[in-house]
This record gives sequence, structure tokens and C-alpha cells, in this order.
Amino acid sequence: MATVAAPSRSTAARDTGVVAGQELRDLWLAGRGLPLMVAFSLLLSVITYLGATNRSLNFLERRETVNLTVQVAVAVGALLAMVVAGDAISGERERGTLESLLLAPVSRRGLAAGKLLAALSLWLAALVVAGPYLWFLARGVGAFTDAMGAAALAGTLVAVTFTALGIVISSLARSNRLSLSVSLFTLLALYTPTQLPAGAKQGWAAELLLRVNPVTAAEHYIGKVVINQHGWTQDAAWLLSPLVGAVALTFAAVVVAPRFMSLRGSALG
Amino acid sequence: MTRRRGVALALALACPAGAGAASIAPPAAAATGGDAPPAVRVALDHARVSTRLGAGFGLGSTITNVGRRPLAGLVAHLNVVSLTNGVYVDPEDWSPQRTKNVPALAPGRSARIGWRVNAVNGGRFAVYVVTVPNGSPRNASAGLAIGPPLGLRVTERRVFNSGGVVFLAVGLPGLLGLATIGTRARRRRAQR
Repeated sequence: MATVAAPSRSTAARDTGVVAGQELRDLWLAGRGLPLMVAFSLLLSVITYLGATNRSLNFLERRETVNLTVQVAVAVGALLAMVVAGDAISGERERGTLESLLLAPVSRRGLAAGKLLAALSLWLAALVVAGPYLWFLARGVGAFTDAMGAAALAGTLVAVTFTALGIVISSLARSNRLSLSVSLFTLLALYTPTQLPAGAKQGWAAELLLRVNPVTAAEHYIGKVVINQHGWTQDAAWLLSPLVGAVALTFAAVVVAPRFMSLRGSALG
Repeated sequence: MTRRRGVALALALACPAGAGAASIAPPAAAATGGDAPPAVRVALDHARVSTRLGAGFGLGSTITNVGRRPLAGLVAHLNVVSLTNGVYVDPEDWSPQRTKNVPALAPGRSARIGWRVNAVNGGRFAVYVVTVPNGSPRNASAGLAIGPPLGLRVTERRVFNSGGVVFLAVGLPGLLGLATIGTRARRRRAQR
């Protein structure tokens, strides 16, 4: 296992900036960033078209349509960022370019943090692309600020959680396929409880599980703000697990995982 | 015994009173002695309200004991009825709390009960409050009291423009697609 000297704070910040700049250029000018956004906007176009052309929806159902669009934007935006993060280290390893990256004069923490920031740019782009659709759906019911605010707040926490998880898994996995499949499985497993019927979400044990799972907790918060018109702080306790997930996994991605970053991969596979 | 009477007797023996899923009692008016006026009067603050879809408004109701005995254990309930043909009403959507307990009322005293109403559908509606005794002997004379209906007109803003959505649904992916093609072409030119 390679030993990693702890870089100074300014060096790590400089390294992060250098890596993030290069990764952003690769992602948005030559890579998958723009095609992924085209696919994302097509998905939101279909949802918006179906919601907007259904004139029999009442006021609450219109807010529910806005909520559905926010939920899809958060889920798919976080998925896109996680897929790019899941490919970040294991992809370099598989393409045989990790060695030159590890030999480059940048710290491993800077490398991980730069790749994390570049992957998160997909979520920010997804949020910007979702804006016009949410405005269109929400303008009749005055829910645009609620929808964008809830997406920006809860969605960003979910996206940071999954992107950092992708970096951690990618640092440890020996193959890109393994990294992407473990990342996707984790994401799907955490999204599964959102499909449970309302009756199965009753009781203290169910509520505890919903609160502990960052995805269901964020979904609950968004629904309360967008559909029930609750204030931003009324259900803020539901954002605790997404916040803890985002902070803990970012720490793991930037501080812990670089220690295990090697040419062959460490723990997984 | 005719055949029909025989069948009725057999059914009665097979399903004795109280053994079935439901038991039916005569109506309360009959039990309390006819068409006595209720000892409770319900009044609303407004007779008419006009609002727009999605807006909410507060509604006050006054429950008065017009009888000679004190009353306790009354339950007030708010209901919404559509007067526009074909408009479906789900009352739960219209008010977060539609059932409230009325405090004990001495003869001649009133209690004010407030309601929050959200305009969920467009059209014309009637909103009314009814008080129901909870079955206690202290309110047996109260009967069912229904207040006057509030005439509610909700104007619907037709902002869901299905023509505009085509522009958005095609335009934004198209714009992003053009940006993708432009970026790739520019990069290819730079590489040459």
C-alpha cells in the first residue's frame, strides 16, 4: 500500500483546483457532460409534457406533478454525478492512466477532491436544466421557489452523498465494472423505500428507517415543502441524515479513500 | 304458511338481530319525539366568498346553544359540496382539519370555531358546518344542526399552456443538442 504524506491545506486546495479544472474540461468539452444533459432534458420534457397537457389536474395534483419532477430531477441528477464519480478512479485504473496521475505532482487528496468537484458539476448542470421545466409546471400554483429551493437544498445533499460514495467505491474497486455496479446497486437499494405504499411507512420503526435513509429523508422534505407548502425550517430535521451522509462520505472520499488508492485497487474485488 | 312467509321466517332464524355485521336503529328524530327544533344554531361569518385557485381563506363559525339546558360533547364538522356539474371534490384536500370539538355551552352561550379552507378546484361550491351530538346524555336534545351554506366561487387560472410546453419540451433538448454538436465540432477543428 502506498504511503501518503499529508499535504498542507494550501497545496491541497491548489491541487484540487488543478485537477477539477482539467476534469471539468474533459467532462464538458470532450466527454459525456453535454450528451448526458441532452438525455436528462429529454426525460424532463416527457414528464413536463404529460403534466402540462393534463388539464383535469386540480391544484394539489399540480403541486404533486411539480414534486414528481423535482424528485426525478434529484434522482437522475444524483445518478449522473455518481456514475461519473464511480468511473473517476477505477476508470483511470482500467484505461492504464492512473499511474501517470499518481506520479503527477498533485496530492492524492487533491486528486480525489478535484474529481469529486468535477462529478458534482453534473448535478449543478442538472439543477440548472431542471429550472425551466419546474418554472413551467409551477408558475400556475406559485410553487417555483419552493421547488427550486427544495431541489437545491435537499438535492445537493443527496448528490454530494452519492458522488462522494462513487469516489470511495471507485478508489477501492479493482475494475470499473465492479465500481459502477456497486454504486448503482447502493443507489437503487436506497431509493427502493420511496416506492413503498403509504401504509408501510406508518409506525415508529418505519419513520426511523425513512429518517436514517438520506434518500427517503430528502424525498420527504421535498414533498412537505412543495406539496404541503411547509416552511423551509419546519421539516429541517429530516435533512439531518442527508447532511450527515454528505459530510461523512465527503470526508471518506477526500481523506480516507486516497490512502487506499493504488494501481490495482484495494478492498473491493 | 305461504311459501314467501316460510322463506322470511327461515331468513329471520338464520340471521337473528345483532348477529349480523350491522345493526340498524330508528332515526334519532323518531326516538326523541318528532320534529323538535335543534337546541343548537350554527352561523357563518360570511355568506359569499370569491377567490382564485390555490388561494386559502379563513372561515369563522359561531355555535350557539339556543336551548334551555347546558350542552357538552358536540362535534362540529365542515363540508364542501360542488355546485358545478362534473367537478369532483375531495373534502380532505380543502381543509386540513374538518372536524373539531365544540366546548361545553351554557344556555344562550356561543363558541367560535375557526376553519381554514383551501381552494383546490375551480368552480362554484357550497361550504357548510354541521354540529353532531357525540351521543352523550348531556346533548341528547341538541340534534343535528346545520348552518347556512357559504357560496364559494373559485376562479381558475388556465396557465397550463399545452402549446407552450411543446416549445419548451422540444426547444431545451434541441438547444443542448446544438451546444453538444457545436462544442465537438469546435474541438475537432482545434485538434486539426
